[in-house]
Amino acid sequence: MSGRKKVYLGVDVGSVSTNFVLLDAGRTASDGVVWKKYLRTNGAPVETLKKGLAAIEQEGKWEIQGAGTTGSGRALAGAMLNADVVKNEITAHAAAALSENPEVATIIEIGGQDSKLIILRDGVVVDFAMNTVCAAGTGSFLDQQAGRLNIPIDRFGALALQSTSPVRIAGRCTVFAESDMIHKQQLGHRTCDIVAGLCASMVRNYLSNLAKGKELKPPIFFQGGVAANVGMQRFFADTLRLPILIPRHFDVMGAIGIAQIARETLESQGKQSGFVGLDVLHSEFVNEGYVCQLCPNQCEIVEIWRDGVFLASWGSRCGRQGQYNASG
Amino acid sequence: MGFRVVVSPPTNKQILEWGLNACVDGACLAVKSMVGHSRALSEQGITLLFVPKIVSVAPGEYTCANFLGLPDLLRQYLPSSTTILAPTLDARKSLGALTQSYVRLGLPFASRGAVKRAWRAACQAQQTLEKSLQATQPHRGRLRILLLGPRYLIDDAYLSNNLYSHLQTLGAELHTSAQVPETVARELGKALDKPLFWSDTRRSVGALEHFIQRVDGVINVAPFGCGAESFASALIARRCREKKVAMLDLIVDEHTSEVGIITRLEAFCDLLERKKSG
Repeated sequence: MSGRKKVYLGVDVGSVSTNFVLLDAGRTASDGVVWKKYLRTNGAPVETLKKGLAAIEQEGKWEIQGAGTTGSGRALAGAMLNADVVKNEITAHAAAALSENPEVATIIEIGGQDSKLIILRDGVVVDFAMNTVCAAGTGSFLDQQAGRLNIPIDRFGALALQSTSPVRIAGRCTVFAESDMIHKQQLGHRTCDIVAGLCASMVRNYLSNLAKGKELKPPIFFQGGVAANVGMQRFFADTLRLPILIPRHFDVMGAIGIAQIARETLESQGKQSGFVGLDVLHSEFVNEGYVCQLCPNQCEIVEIWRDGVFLASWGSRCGRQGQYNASG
Repeated sequence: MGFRVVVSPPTNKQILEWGLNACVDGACLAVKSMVGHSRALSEQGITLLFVPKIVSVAPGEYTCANFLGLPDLLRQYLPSSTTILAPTLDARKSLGALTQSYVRLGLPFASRGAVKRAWRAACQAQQTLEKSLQATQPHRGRLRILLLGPRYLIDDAYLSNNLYSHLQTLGAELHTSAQVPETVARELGKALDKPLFWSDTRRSVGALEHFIQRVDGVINVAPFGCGAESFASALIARRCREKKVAMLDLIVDEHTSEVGIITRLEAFCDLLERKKSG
């Protein structure tokens, strides 16, 4: 065991992807990423999490000192791993960006289902905004449109850059955008012009939704899966007339941030990690959702069981923790 | 006046579902919930429903136009055997008009003397309630947060996705506009260049002035697509920026998953903690 390198594990369970990062315990976060993995969640967070852990085990050279989870699936992942910290992705993204550049003043983050804008001053988050109630203008939508146009998502941005006259696409709502795009296709516009129009409308939509009244000062970081899209990068830079910086590990910043927060938390409290260990991937997890019938709220409860032992449940409005599934 | 008053139960899944199924999707969450509540009473066999047509509750001001339409909306929705008592409450010109409306409403059911006594008792009860709300001390917490927005949303645990309890778990001490006497809120609301004509919005702005120097952060809650709130949230945001107080806009709709709300609240409280400590 002694030959293994000491690392901290960060997991960001998002709607589209689940990201894993191992952070060297001895180095600062920005250059301490010794291993990372980006997996599609495919609506199966438990399986995806196991797959990621299996990949870590296979390497056989890491000793995990602590673990943190973030993202919309953070509670599930946190319960499975017995993570040391379970925290929201805004705090995690900010922590990772600050470790790369302590001066960062603006973070644009576009993920699968959320888009966020984080404003920082003197290394502290002072304001943030997230898209309101729907997933318009986020990664899932780009994904879906790339699929519909038969363009691999990683070529989407480059194609946008070939455009000489982007068409105008309605960006407020994905349903509007889609019908607008189909219509422009039927009219015979070139695909690259449509793709460029879509990127431009997403940038416009992002700024008018999230940035209203906020001062976007440089340095500006662009992170999250969508930051890989060079078309989006270009339209952000053109619209804001400021350089857009893409951090080295832009696609896993949430995971980096949460690994780092796990380390800080354990170090400052002098605590031992509660991480269950990689053996957990050989356990059988059963998660089950049902509607609780104990009161008229009829909450949608999810329970998770490890090898037949109850681990955790959530979804109840009353805060009741425990097994209340009569059939379970 | 000798009537037995039945109040609909706290909002629950069934109530909201009735409302969602009955309304056009442009209606706001509060209207949908209101429709569901009327159905809940109707299901209990209630045939006399009190839903006033609230035009205005203070001189020179209006309430949201949805309030005005509620009785007509419910008349279309509920079985025809249901009678809706819908006095027009319009204090735009004077507060005295409210008294008149209520007295007129009561006269078919009781003598003038009994109706007036009932009205006085109602005013008394209202005052007692407001006083007790003003006097209620919030749970102590590390972070002092002012919670603004329509009270029919933030005080409804179901519609607001348990906002109060989530914030208290995160260590917040919650202050609301209910703690601010109307006279104070009114006076402070005058700080704006132009008087606001929606009573709720004006009250929010007044409460903000009252608390802005004494809280760590402000959360404004609004239903998705609310017109009056779009003004309120812009005004509140501007004032908070001037005073360098952190503010969070929270929009609620029919989502039953709490993850989105918890993420925002948690991040906001993290932000306040960090600001405080350094």
